[in-house]
Amino acid sequence: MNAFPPFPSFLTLSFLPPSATSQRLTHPTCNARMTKGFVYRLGLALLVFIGAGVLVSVALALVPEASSASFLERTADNLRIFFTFDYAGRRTENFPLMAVLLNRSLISFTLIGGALVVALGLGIPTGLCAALRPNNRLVQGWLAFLHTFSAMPILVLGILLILAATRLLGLPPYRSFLETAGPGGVLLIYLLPICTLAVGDSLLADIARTLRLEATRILDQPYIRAARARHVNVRYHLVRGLIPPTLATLAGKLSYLIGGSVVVEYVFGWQGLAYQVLDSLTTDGLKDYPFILAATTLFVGLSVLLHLTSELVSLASDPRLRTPPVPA
Amino acid sequence: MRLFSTSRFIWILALATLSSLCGSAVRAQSSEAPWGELEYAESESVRGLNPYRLETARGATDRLFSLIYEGLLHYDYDEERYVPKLAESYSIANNQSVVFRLRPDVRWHDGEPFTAEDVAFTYAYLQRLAPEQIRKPYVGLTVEAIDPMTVQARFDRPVADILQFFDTWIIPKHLFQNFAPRSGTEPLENRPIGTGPYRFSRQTIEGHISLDVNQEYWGEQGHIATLKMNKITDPTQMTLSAMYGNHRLMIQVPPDQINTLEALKTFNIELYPSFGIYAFAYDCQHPILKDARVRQAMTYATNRQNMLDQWFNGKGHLIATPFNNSSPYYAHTIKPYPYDPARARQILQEAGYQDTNGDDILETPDGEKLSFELVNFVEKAASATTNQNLAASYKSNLAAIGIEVHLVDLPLETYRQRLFGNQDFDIALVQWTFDPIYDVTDLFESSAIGGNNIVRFSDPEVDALIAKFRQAQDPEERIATMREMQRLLAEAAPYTFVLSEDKHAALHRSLAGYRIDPYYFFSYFTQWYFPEDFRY
Repeated sequence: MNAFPPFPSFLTLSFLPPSATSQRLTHPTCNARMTKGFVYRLGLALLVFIGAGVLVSVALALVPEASSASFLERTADNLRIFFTFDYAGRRTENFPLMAVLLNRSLISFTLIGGALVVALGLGIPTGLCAALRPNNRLVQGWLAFLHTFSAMPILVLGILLILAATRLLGLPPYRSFLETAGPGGVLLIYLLPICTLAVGDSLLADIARTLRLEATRILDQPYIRAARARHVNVRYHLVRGLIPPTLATLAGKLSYLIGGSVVVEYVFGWQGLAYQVLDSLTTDGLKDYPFILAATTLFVGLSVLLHLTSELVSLASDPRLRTPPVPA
Repeated sequence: MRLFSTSRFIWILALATLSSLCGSAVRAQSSEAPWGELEYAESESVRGLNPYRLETARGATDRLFSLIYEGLLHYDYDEERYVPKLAESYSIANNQSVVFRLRPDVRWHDGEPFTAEDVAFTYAYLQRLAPEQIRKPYVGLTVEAIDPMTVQARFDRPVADILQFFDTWIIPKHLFQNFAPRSGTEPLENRPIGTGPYRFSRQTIEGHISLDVNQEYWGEQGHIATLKMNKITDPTQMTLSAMYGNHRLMIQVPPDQINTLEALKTFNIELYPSFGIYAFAYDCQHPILKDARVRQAMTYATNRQNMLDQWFNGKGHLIATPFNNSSPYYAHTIKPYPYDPARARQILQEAGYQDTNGDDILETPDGEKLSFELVNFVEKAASATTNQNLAASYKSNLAAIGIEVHLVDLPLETYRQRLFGNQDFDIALVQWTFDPIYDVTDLFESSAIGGNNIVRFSDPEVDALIAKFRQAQDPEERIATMREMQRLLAEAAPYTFVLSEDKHAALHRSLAGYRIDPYYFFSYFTQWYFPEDFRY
């Protein structure tokens, strides 16, 4: 197979709908490699999951407790809970574990989801603009502004925003003020932590940077330059080339987002998942290990899932990853 | 503010004036229906709501329980004696037995009548409980229902001040009747049922708890319709919540934020005594620390005034014994050791400790270094800093007289284990809260070594005084005995008692009639109300 199709046929390809393209790629060898790759990555994901479970179980067994159970017994018990999803043995049972988990997850994922929307909504246009109009002063200024803010740790940025909002608007943007804040206040209470999470720890800046680099790289390819010189629309190539790196960046950032949400939840008084884990871990005499294990399952599961998705999208969108290498 | 803390008498006088002022106002509007919601915040997580489960017992829950549950008696801090609550009257037969006549008109929050059976059940339940700290005082006590409205309580030994065992919260027997232990959640855990002036309304999944006024209460009904406890972990957030109108009450304002709140002028800041003390405990059977002169020198070397000023904004007072000035046993004549490092050095030199190798650390005549391990506990951010700061100050104080201290920060479980379990420490920083009438004798008697006498202190003279104290029936004699014991303790210095912190509550201007119970806080909550002008 020719790695570089002849020029005219390539041009027609760019105008074909995606279904037509995928047809071309359903070669038996490709399919087999795709399945093999998928199974391989699924295995890896499972390994990560098991590793995380073992690590957390061992770590939790090291937490000092007045109980007489030995380290090994506690580790075994934690492992059993983690891998059988049997959370019945809680000592604090005012509310069922799943209800608490759901309640806290909703709060946390509002934050994380909101931050993702903001980061993507601002990061993608910024990255693309920077790639397409590298010399525009406005774009340059905006990028500089973004990078400055992104350099700030979440803790500092969060507290700065709280102080500013309290001083300027007379409202501490804590979640406990939701009921008394009024519509504008509610918007502020939601927006500030979401923006802190999106901008802080350079999530937004990283997305913009990845997109700018990748877009520049794609636009720099000779065939794209040739196509653009002929006023051919290259949007499809650009989009297809940009999805995998964007997803990979996001997958890599997810653990940072979860980590960041711990700080944001604490600073802005959101009682989310991270807050609850912290609380379960620091309440004397009543450490809620099953809850911590359940939350870990959720966090690791999500992280693994997102990584898997990003890999699969790469596999599906980049034929070179699944065709056998062309002999030199 | 300072005025109150210097003298207990003035404090009581002020409270008395306040309550008499408020009393008239309460009467003026007592016919009205309960109104309003009072919100406040606690930093602790409330897990279970069974008042007798040690692992869920917290200051936060105790404050709520004091409104939900009631005991046969109640300790009145102004009158300094036990007053009847669920008991209508009592008669003490001797120092082993007492008979209570119960109120006939009391109902549980679920409508069931309150009877002598409930009282007998509560004391039996207490003795069945596994945690020793809760069970221990009640061992050997038999409580029987003579008839539905009379109970007789009998000890198998003579006890001092027999009434002190009967302010325990009574729990309803009928809820436990069909409950088999270990078959699931205990009754009361999710839904406490008591006889008190407020009933449990609900606990939200976020951890907020609401209490509603009990319309069928046998005594004076509350004037505030709802009391709501919110959960806020961060102290700054808690203060801001009050400043911006979310809460009209702060149970304990952090010392560094008192001025901010005061400047706002929307809050009245009320000082109330705390029963908590900070102290450094010494292992009195340690090869070096068993020498009382070393412990005295270490006490002289501790700059307690500086600790108070630096870490508590000066809000508190120094103590010489385990009692602070809110306890009836407090001895005014025993003054804390002054800060005198020169004296400390002199004592150590006279005792034969010298720095022979020039490393600025003293050695015993056998060449052993005066180097000790100080165990301390770190809990959550807020309290950890205070403890750690105190420990650090102490370390530098002792370094100045040539004693080396290694700080060991432990989580609470390990710390408790090392103090009460295997008593494995040289020096420990302890932070204790006593009930004001708690007599602390079990911290010092030699038979309690291995139990509460964690410092393994043993002195026949002190033991004799403790025995005398237990036998004495006359309160004056008991106080005199306890003061004599404190004098001996101050001399022997098994602990360096550091300070007792003053607490400040912030109450919104729209609240009136308030009176604060220093231990449970809400004991007099039925008298609080929102005046007409402030109902918004």
